[in-house]
Amino acid sequence: MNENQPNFESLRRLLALKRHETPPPGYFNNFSSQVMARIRAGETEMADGWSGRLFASMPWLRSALQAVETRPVFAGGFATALCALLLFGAVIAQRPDSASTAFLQPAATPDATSFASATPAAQTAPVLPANQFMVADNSTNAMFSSFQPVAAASFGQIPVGAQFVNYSGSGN
Amino acid sequence: MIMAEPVARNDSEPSAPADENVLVRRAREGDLEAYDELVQRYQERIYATVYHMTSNHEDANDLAQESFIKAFQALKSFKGGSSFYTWLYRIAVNKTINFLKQRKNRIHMSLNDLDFNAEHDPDLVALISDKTPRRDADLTELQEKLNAALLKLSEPHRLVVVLHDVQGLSHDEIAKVMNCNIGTVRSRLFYARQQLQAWLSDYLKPT
Repeated sequence: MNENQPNFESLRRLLALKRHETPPPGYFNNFSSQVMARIRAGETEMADGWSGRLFASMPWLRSALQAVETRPVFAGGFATALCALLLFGAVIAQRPDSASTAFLQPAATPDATSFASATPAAQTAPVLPANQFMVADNSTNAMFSSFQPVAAASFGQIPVGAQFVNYSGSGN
Repeated sequence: MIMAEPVARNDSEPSAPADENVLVRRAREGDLEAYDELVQRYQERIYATVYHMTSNHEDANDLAQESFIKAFQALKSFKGGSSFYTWLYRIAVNKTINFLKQRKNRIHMSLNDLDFNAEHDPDLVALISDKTPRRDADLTELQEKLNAALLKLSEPHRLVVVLHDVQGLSHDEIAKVMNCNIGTVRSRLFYARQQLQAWLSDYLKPT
């Protein structure tokens, strides 16, 4: 596979035509001044903007960004670390026995009926049956439903159950 | 003016004089005058490379300017492992290839005019002589067909042809710019030439 094979000679001559394609006259006279003007404008913008103040207060941030921009290895490493972090978070969140799930749940969720029978007040005061007392059990409002026993436990010494009152007339 | 005349060079002996390192060091410290000098030194080569890759003057102008700006911003990360111009070439080439990938389906040629010397180039005169199968082809038509054929090549193949056959870089230099080995450069060059030869057979003098 010799690239200098004579059968490419004609092609090489044709490709020489490309070297005769030139930009408009005087084009390169202004090229560098345009580049330098854009660099100066960029520096001014950087110094004035919020990013400029940010980089001034944290010079390592600029170095880190430049490293990510110029070295694909850093960019790849950063992306891998980010993916690993996301995966780790997803795995932790889906574990049923994870600490975060346990933390969010109430410490104890006593059954309403057992609570009613266990409290001393329940023995003296008539209490509505469970299906009447726990109105929210039939509700779709999960938050209210789950917090009801906690509220009941807070008033453990005070019977909060409704009492039947007889308002029958006394001869009026 | 012939753009980016091929010059036999190698990376250990760049065309730049010895003070290039001084200019780079000064530019890294924020000396804009030093960087201006570096821009003037390489502007034609960088522009030519981008232009031959895009076949579009306006795109080449933007990309060449942006390459110099990006190089200035990244100058602190330049460790001197390669010569400055190899590093600069790499920035320009990466920027151009990214640009070409984005505009994949929006190819629009905006070709520069041929200079006066083209009509007197013996190689080109020979191409449009009566031995050429397409005798009616003039230089402008040849230019359009050649650019269209180059644009049909994949970016890596086009880049090798542009850097070697048009810009005159050595295989070693191209390998450094493209971050691949010399064998890959040679095989890409061979394949690209074969393709071009097939597409441009009507305009090539039989050998």
